[in-house]
Amino acid sequence: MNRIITFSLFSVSLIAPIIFLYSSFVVSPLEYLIHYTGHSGLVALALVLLCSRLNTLNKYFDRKYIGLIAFIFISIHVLVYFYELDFDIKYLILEATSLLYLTIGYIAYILFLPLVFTSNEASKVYLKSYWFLLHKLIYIIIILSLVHYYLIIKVDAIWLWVYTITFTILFMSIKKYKK
Amino acid sequence: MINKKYSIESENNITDEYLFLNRRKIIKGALASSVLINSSSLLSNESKNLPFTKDLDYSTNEKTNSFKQITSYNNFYELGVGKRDPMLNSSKLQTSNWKVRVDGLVENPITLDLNDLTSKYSLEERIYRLRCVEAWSMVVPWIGFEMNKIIKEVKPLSKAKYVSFESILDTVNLPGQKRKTLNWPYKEGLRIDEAANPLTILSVGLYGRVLPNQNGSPIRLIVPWKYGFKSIKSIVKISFVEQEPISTWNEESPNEYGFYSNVNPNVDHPRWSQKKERRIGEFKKRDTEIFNGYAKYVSNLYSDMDLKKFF
Repeated sequence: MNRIITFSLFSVSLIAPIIFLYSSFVVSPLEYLIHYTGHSGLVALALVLLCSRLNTLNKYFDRKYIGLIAFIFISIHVLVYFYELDFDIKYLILEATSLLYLTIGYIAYILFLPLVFTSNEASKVYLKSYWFLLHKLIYIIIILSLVHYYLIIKVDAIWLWVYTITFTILFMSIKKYKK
Repeated sequence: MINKKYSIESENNITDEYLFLNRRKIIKGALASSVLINSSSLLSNESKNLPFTKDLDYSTNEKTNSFKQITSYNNFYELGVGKRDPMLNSSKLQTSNWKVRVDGLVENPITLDLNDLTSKYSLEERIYRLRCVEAWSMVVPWIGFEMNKIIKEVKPLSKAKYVSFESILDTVNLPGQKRKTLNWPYKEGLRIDEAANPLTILSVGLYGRVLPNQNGSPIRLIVPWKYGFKSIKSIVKISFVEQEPISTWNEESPNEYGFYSNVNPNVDHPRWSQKKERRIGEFKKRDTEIFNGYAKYVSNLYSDMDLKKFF
């Protein structure tokens, strides 16, 4: 049940931008995709935390898969950026090392990888308490993502505020979940 | 069905552009079964054809962006900060009694009214690249006249070293000015030799017709070798002055947006790269050229300047 809801949500969130792109109102489609997947990744991460705070939500959503969906969104985000620069490795390295928002973005993405690879039950059994420690990386990933976003805003920071307030509330409600 | 028709882009088809611009009004008019009355009144102002000659000296032969791209992807914070906001809020810009005052250190100050803007000076089409500081670009067929013509008419005094420009201030009607996103009204400035360069134009139209509101109607500056924000929209005041004038983005964030703001791939914005740009309509980023590809006309203006210092 919860997996069906999770994957339906994921399908809708993937189809929605395609409809937008076809509606011909999007003049800059790749820019739109980059923004959309970035925002969607953050929303998915917020949902992961929300599920861990409110146990009842686990009936409707599969926390693990929402985490993986966040990773898929962010992977598309990174891939579109690579594609626009024609996968020019030399230039990608130049940008990654000279622009702080990109350096931070890469760090966040790299920190996400161990969480993805240890998302299976076997890893959880094998790593025991280290697994929980490792998966606390999600907090660092979220903070880095918000900094990454903050660094490219020109003046309008309304969504950044929405995310910052949402995540602050989610971070602060951490104790309520402890068994 | 209607939407589908307009989504199939036809580049220079005047009828389609006209329909695109006024599609809501036309649909509304059709519903009220008064299509003829409604659209004829629209024809008289918003989509008036302008008489112009084609310029071959300065225009690029690159593929122009479509009317839809040029009019639905804009930075015009007076009408909202989103890219589509200026189009959606375009009716909030009131231009009916527009006047442009040209004064300051000049022999002959003038005031231009709405009619003067399109009839006093002979108009020409200039197809220019436009490079935004946000690293996107377009190619736009502007209609306008050289800033030179105004300079010659008002005769600046020898003391005048700079030209300052000011946009409309209308906190009642302009949705973006209800918030202090920027220090309104928007202000810009040029050195007088930059203003007198033949590339610098005052634009009153695009694609052969009067400027749509979201593109800075009824008159805006175009300085194609500088980042787009220098090309101030909806101008109400032009003054010739002695000191370097305030420019809004420089005032907002002086270490990020310089007074000169010449397009320069070798000087990055402190937070993002200026080496490449996203040309609207293309899928791969292209390299940004120094002075946006206009170096042969303007590099002499900065021959003794350190462009990293005077960014």
